[in-house]
Amino acid sequence: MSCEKFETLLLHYLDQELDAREALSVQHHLEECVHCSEKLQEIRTMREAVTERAFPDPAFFEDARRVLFQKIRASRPSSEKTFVLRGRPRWVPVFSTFLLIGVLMGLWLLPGRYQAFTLRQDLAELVALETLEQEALYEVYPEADALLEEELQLVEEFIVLAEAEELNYDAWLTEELELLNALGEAEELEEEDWENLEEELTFIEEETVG
Amino acid sequence: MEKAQVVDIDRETSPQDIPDGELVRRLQEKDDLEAYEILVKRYERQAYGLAHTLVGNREDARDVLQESFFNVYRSIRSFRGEASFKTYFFKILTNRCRDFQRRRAVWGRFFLGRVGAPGETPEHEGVVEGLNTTTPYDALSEKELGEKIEDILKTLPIRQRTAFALKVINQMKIHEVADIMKLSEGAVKAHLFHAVRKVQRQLHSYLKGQDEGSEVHVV
Repeated sequence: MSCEKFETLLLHYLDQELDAREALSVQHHLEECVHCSEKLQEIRTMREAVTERAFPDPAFFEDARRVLFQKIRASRPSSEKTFVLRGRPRWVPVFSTFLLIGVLMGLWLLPGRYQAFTLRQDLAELVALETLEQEALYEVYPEADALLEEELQLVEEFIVLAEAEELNYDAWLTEELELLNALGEAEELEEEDWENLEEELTFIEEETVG
Repeated sequence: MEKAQVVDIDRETSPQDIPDGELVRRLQEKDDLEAYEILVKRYERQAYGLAHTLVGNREDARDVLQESFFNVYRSIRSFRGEASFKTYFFKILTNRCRDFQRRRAVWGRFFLGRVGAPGETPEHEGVVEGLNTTTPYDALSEKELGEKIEDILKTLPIRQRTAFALKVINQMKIHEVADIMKLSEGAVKAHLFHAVRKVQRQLHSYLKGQDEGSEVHVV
């Protein structure tokens, strides 16, 4: 096995996620290979440095938690109200259902039917608020987003196929290149994203050829 | 009968030992905020590790974290326990972080005329512990190394960054990362390898650049 292959296993070796045979193989290699030993040490150092920086002090979490639970408590309906969503007694949903049916029927029978419609519309809007917000955001980049998802799906399929050694590499590569070109044409990708995709493709190509 | 068992757990088990499933059940059935607080305390550090890496700065990470914990609380009744609570929560958090980035990109594009890069105002809090190692990274000060890695992470694609945060920073198992990211374990490993290799390469180029710079300076 080449150093490149061993490098793909180093992080998992460090986290003891390799099976016994692989772990032993890496261990033996590390005893002889200065390059890979250094890479392992680099990963360890990288993790220490970034982990230390990643977490603030306990006071930060205490403060964040205090704000969170204030918000949660404020969102809870008080026990005096009839329409309790959480911790409600068993009779409440039954009663609420009958009440709601009664109200809706009353509104429907009233001359101003639009009132019931407005009520339903308001409820629907309330429930779908976050969904609508997210959909609006997706609408900005519909094409690039779909293409990117497709690209990632292909990469996943590639890995599955590569693992099963059933990959028609040429066909896959052609498909992948077409997709990358399509992404480029969509002009929704930042230059950085484009470089990352190309690099990913190069890596896959190297892996497959290797 | 069930009540008696719960009381026993309360008396004999410290909060840290109560399984997630039991805490979730209490929250679902009794709206027990103490149970939820234990869950929040249990995962807030790991959650922050992910959020900070994905959104790029402390304040935004805290906002995304609070929003995610709040949304999980609101939707806990729909959690059926098919996956673990940890996986369920981290999926929601990951989606929140992605939404946040999209929102920032949209606002950046419409109102600032550009796409806001994550961590435009990076903070430099915290102290890196001593590095008793013999790697080329020793050429950097502890603070510099941490900052540089954070800067590099911001240039990685979202999936690589997510995998890096969950695995390298939060030290989760590969199968957990795969569940959260809705990818195969093979795909997660590939993203991780990319991410780690890019960080290593960019650190090396940075160090090389520094060496050359200092040589020129000496000459």
